[in-house]
Amino acid sequence: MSAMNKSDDKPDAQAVKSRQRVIGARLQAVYDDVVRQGVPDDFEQMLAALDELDEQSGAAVKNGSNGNEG
Amino acid sequence: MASPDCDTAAEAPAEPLPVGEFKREMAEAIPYMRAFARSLTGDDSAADDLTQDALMKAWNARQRFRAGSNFRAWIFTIVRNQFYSNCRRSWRQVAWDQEQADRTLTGPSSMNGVMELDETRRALLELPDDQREAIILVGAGGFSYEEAASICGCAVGTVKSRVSRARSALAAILETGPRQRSAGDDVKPSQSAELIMAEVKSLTSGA
Repeated sequence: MSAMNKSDDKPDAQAVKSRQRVIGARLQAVYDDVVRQGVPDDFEQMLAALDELDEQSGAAVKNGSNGNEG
Repeated sequence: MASPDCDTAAEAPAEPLPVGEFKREMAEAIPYMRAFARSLTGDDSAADDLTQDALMKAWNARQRFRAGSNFRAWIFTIVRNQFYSNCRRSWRQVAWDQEQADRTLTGPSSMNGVMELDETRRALLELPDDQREAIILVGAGGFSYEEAASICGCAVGTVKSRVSRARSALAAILETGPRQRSAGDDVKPSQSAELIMAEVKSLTSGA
């Protein structure tokens, strides 16, 4: 049952395709809406904190053999 | 189950990225990680918690990232694994109960982009987890089917079928309106369909 417009006689497949494009655009919009927010402050702070962590433990890591990872 | 690794170039023990570069990659990935996390959890603050957890995990595992491989796919894998290893259900409930309900109530006064975004978010949350992550990765995140398969730890064909099912499901949901809009909403299913058709027109005429 295709309840969509009958005014133009496009085949259903085409309508489906068009709708899928819209859905794709909407999905992209949902995703981009967050991406556009960039990097919030608390994340910047977190990255900065990693610098300090790094300075503290940098020497140990440099050996490349910190095999304590699960 | 073997870990999803990035198959190519397994031979040479590629070096880890220098710390500075690794951090730059992380910083660049954050907006995308948040977007992905948001789609997984359906909630802003849960998404940020998830993203931060994943960043710490990534940081601790940085020796295992090989220079030259796909950083974003690598770190998305961590986001995803973290999501599934935490109790995702509680996150989901937060999303449904508070935020979504509030939005539904204060709801659709204008039929513009905001409402469409909102509706799409809600529709996404109605998908099964596996379909939702697949369509976000491929449909919005810009990952290839292969990359998405690697992130999700499944076969390429599986991703394809999940994406396909997700597309059909989203179309159906958006046409009848997401589940939550039933009581006293001023947008009826038929209007939802009309909205979609209006978008179809604007898209096809625009591009």
